Amino acid sequence: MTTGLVVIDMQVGLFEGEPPCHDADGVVDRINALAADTRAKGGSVFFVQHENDKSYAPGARLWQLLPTLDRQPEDVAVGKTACDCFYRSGLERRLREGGIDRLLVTGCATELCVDTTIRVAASKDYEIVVVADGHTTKDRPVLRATDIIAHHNWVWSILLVPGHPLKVSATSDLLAAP
Amino acid sequence: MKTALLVIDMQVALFEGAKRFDADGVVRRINDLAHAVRAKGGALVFIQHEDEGDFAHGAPGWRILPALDSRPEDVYVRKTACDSFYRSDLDEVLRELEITRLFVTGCATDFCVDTTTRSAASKDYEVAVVADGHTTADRPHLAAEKIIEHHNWMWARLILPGRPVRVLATGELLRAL
Repeated sequence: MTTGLVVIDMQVGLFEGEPPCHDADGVVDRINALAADTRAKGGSVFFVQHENDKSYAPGARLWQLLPTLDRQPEDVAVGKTACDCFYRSGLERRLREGGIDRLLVTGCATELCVDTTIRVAASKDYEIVVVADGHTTKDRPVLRATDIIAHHNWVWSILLVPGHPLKVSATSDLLAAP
Repeated sequence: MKTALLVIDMQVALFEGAKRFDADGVVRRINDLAHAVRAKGGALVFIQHEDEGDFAHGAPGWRILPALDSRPEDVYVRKTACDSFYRSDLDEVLRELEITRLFVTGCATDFCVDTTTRSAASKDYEVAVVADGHTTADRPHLAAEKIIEHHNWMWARLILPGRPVRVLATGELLRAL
């Protein structure tokens, strides 16, 4: 199996303003550790960036990836316009070109683009590992960020996808795997 | 624009095994919507989960709740995943009926209802989730009512260029039909 680490919407605009994203620095650190590990094990890293024709126009300040993310020349950048990272984007083609059949999913925001992309990817028959401590969101009017993260991790771990159930694993477990 | 009311997994075993939030109210509202959708020439699509246990095809637990107004002329779709479109006839059936708009109802909010809603939106259906037409059970970490509120909040904020998912109460939909 060839692994692709998918890093969703870790962009400047999503990490500005109040309330802050939960444990943003920790999530970035863990994504960086997984990116190095994925490259070392022969996989690829895909940075997905949300774009629109307003403040997230490609090249705009808010559209930029967080400067603390460890990016390498061989990484792949993919633009998208919907919560579903596959929707009218080049992601599926780029994954196919890389021979990727297993996805490690990370990013922001947990309940919007991360969740939608996971559920859609599951229906496209990828093997999916959600990084339990590799995605984040903000406190929302209904639920606090930590409750949202716990709820979605729980749902994904028992989502019904015949033949290839999703896994939800901590970064440390993934780094320790051969 | 032709509408289908999707009724997801409103099956006996799902309501026997766990206490679903306001189950009677959800059934009543689905029946109200079914009446209105039929009157306007729309389709009723009952989706039934199946597996090898309580949900074996034809088993008592697999059956649709008897309190639901389901009729022989309605459409019945079998599925095996949370995504009602996954390896099922759903997309084909909807396209044959020239359905472009979906009202989504059913159980469970956080699993099959959520996954089907997101999947349908990515397939370019116009999706309206019925805010008080889906239900779930208390979870280890959250009460059912909070989960329903959270998912309603989130679906209304999903980004889909040109065609946002709407989240509307039964009363609003009945007035709009």
